[in-house]
Amino acid sequence: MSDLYVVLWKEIKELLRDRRTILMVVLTPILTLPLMGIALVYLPSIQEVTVAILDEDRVSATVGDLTISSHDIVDLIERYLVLYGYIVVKDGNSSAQVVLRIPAGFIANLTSYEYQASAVLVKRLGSPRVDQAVSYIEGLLNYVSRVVSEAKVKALGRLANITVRPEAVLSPIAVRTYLLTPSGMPAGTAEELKLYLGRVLALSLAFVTTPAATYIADSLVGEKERRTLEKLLSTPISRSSLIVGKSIAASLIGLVGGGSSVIGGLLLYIAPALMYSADILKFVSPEVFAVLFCSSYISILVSLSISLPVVLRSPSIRSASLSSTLLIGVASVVYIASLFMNLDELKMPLALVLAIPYASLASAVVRASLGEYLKAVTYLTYSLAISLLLILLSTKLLDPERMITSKT
Amino acid sequence: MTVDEVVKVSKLRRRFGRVEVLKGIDLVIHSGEVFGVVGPNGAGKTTLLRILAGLLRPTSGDVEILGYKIPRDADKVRRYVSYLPEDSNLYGRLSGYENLKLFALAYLGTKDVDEAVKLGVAIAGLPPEDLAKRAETYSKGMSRRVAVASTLMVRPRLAILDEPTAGLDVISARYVRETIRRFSKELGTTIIMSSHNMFEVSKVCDRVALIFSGRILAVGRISEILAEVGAEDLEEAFIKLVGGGNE
Repeated sequence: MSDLYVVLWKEIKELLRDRRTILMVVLTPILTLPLMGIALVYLPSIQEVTVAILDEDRVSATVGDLTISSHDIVDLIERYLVLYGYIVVKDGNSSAQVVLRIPAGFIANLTSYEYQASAVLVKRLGSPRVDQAVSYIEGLLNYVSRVVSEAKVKALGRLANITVRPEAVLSPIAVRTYLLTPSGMPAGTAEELKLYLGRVLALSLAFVTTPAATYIADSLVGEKERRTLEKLLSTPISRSSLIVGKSIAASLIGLVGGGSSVIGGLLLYIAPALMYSADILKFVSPEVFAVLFCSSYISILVSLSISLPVVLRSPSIRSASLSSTLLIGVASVVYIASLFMNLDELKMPLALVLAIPYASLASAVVRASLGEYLKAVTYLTYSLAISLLLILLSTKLLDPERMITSKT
Repeated sequence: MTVDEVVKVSKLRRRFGRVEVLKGIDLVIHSGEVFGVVGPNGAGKTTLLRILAGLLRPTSGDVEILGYKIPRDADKVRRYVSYLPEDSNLYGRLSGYENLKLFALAYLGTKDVDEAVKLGVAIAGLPPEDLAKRAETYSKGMSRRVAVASTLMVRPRLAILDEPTAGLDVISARYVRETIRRFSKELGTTIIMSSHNMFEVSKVCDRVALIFSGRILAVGRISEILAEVGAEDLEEAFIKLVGGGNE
């Protein structure tokens, strides 16, 4: 025990004086997570996209009770696009990323019972915001199409002298979607948004993985390069105390990282909310943040416990860092995957991915955001157990002879 | 192994891959003496000292330290042996005091730490304000003084110093030599130091082993070696023993 105290005494003193590392661990999530929030919500909306609307028809016509003109359609689309920040021009602007052409005869066909009206939509590839403009225009034309269809149905009903409800003709099947939580409780869009934000929070775990993996590499191999390791290994301090002590010190970085990850997560909610005066904060759940904090800490334990056996056999800090980079890559892939799927719902053999502690940790955050706290705690416990087991195994792998004699 | 014998090495060999660095070393070092291991770079000095410190395993041969077998009892040996590797550095973010305290804690636990650090301060011979500064601000000479102090202050039964004056200026090297000499007598510690500096060894050591290419060429008191080889100083003796050539 006193051996462990000596190692902890040294490591914590050194750690507290390594202000740059602590600063990076604290600032990385606090800066990147709100930026991610801004990037996801705000930046796409400010990208300039020009939409040209060419009205070559310029007529109006009546169908049933409805009188409609190409000008009405153009006006509707223009108002909507301007509302969402698009630049709308009404000439053949060659620099426009989207061009909507309403050809001559469009209104005549639209209001006829024999022909289909055709509008031409041209888009330049290369921007999700362009895709969004096209999607808006298609949606609006569908709306116009629906309004005209209803007028036609009503008119035909009158001609046939029968009672006709337009939706019975146009949408004979009505689909009503009800949202439920995984436990079967009624849910609304709020729960959907919570789940989405939970997935983004799970992704934030990737940010705390890096400092722990690089810290443990530096803590062990760095001592060799700084020429302090050999004397330390020659003291009566036991190998296990050395490994466990260094792991505990590195996990303190995890505590700091976990705390700042939670703050960064809160900022992720707050940053877009401030911009749009939206009340996103109502979706903040203390339980989710508690699980996020635990997941961050355990993610760091996992990183250092997986790094340890590799680092202990790395001849130089460079090779140890490269090994850590590989690990960080795996962790990032898992956390990014958790943004798009429930990793704990995959079928065999893909279900084995849950054995990777990072997958369990991401699932813990997602499950917590769905209110499934028992599952979240189970995943946390599993990951913690795996990391502790690996740390214990690593104490058997420390070979002073190998560490001293390997070339840096 | 007699009570007086602190180190007993017999037919010690050590290979690194295809290269045999130690080719059958026989050595006995007695309690309380300052013993020098002298030889050029690549002679096998560091490998020998690392084996004696319990850090490397012998390929073959017998090594006994204070009656304990190496490598079997290496963990026990480390309690009584304090080792200063060649070019080892202090922990830069810790102060000189804290570096001393670290090794006092490592050897003595939490008891007697203050007394050991006090002794370390005396051995290092640096002003308190310097010892309170972070070691990363130290000159090489200051670092070495604290490192030697951290090795001797825990009153080890055996202290192993690998090239303790390498790279130091004349004044710092002289201080370290005098410190080794003085505290070995005051503390009654057996000291093994390696060097490629024949002058230094003749100033500090009671007995020496001349090592070359993994073999001991001569061992004994310097006066005995000089008489046996017919040389005026240790350097001349070494040159004569290796046949006037170089490795």
